[in-house]
Amino acid sequence: MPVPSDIPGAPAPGQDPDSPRTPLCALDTLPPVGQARGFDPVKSGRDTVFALRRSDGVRVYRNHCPHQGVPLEYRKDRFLSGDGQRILCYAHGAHFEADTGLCTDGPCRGMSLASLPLVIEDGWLYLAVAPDSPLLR
Amino acid sequence: MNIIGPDALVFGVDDVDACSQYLTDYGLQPTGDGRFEALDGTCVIIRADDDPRLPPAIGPAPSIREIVYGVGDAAALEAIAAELSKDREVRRGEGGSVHADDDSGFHLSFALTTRRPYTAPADLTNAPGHPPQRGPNLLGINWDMKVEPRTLSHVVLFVPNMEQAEAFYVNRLGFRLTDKFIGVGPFLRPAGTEDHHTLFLIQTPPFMKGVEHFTFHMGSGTEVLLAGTRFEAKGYTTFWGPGRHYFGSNWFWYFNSPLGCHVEYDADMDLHDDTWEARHRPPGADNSQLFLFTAREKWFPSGPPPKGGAH
Ligand code: FES
Ligand SMILES: [Fe+2]
Repeated sequence: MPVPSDIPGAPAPGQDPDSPRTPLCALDTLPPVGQARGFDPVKSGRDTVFALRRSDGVRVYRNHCPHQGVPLEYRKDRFLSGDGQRILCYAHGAHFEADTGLCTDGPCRGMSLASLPLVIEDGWLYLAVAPDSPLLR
Repeated sequence: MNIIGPDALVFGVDDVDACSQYLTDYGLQPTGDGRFEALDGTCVIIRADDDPRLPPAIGPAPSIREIVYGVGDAAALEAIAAELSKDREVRRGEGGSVHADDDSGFHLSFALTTRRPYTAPADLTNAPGHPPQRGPNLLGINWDMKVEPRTLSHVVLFVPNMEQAEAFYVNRLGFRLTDKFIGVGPFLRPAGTEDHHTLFLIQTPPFMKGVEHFTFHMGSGTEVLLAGTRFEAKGYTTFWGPGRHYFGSNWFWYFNSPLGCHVEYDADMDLHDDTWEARHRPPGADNSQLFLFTAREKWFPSGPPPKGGAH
């Protein structure tokens, strides 16, 4: 099953069922700490995951608020608080720790965003999730 | 009491620039000092959350800090001040304005309305069986037609005790109940307007207290669809809509926002007078939307994208 990808120059993923891969982007195209970027890795028509840098590495979360299962951002790539330090759900204002995805304030306090496993290889950021995973839809 | 409706909503926010950009893209006119106006001068006011001019916050920024009600005459201001002074602290401000908290802790103020008269075109319809509203060669739409928020329509509050909150607005400020979602909350209309609601209250746990959404009236359903389409094309995220509500008959389209609440476009709301008897219905999709369209970014002539991803 070929991965739908329009990333120029992305290496062919090669699906090994034991280590599934879905490419997101070249690592050096991720914005700096304090900003986030949404991705639609399987062409569902909207950004279903988002990635951000933290001091100790990259995090990728499913764009799916534990409160009502809707997208978090208010605008393309706007997932973070004004100071860039927290993730916010701009539907009802839930606050999440950027490092862990734990909701610290708001209607889903104590619940967490789904953090997706990732692989960095040859300068590319992949999700260690099969492209047909429901997590990406 | 001749309360017309909200004239201004004041927010304390952590990202003033993002909110300013948002409200401008939504279609309001920036008129300086954090003020964003509709055609009649009703507005949203954005301030940094630590701005000393703001009343205290009721939750983490971004959040509502004050709801300013426009009243029709000075007598109404005095009546409001006298009524609220009976059991709470009332502060008087410039021009006789009245400042007090409602029973849920939202900061309210009342002032002579700042709404300006304005005229704007109606969306004329040609319906078979009815005399045409647009004669020959008059076009219904064109690509660059202007669609602007006309007037602040309503605000929706999450409240910890909807019965108590409703009683305050009805018994103390003369609002009337137009309709009610059983167990969820009332649609309320102040005496100075015929609009189905300028206030809707939703029962939630106390820590969610705040604004759920606010909206400005657009000129028509067409205008809601056009404004929402343009807003979405700028990258803004739909929360719910476009569609048409059952209670109030208004068109709706809700978006996420950096103000800490949803922001809606609405249009074509029912009008009511005091002879209306409130409907009580259970909440749920059937009673909240007559129909709903789901905006889809991609559409293919051969049909929607296959379910379950590419094969
Ligand atoms: S859906 Fe995210 S806070 Fe409600
Ligand atoms: Fe509404």
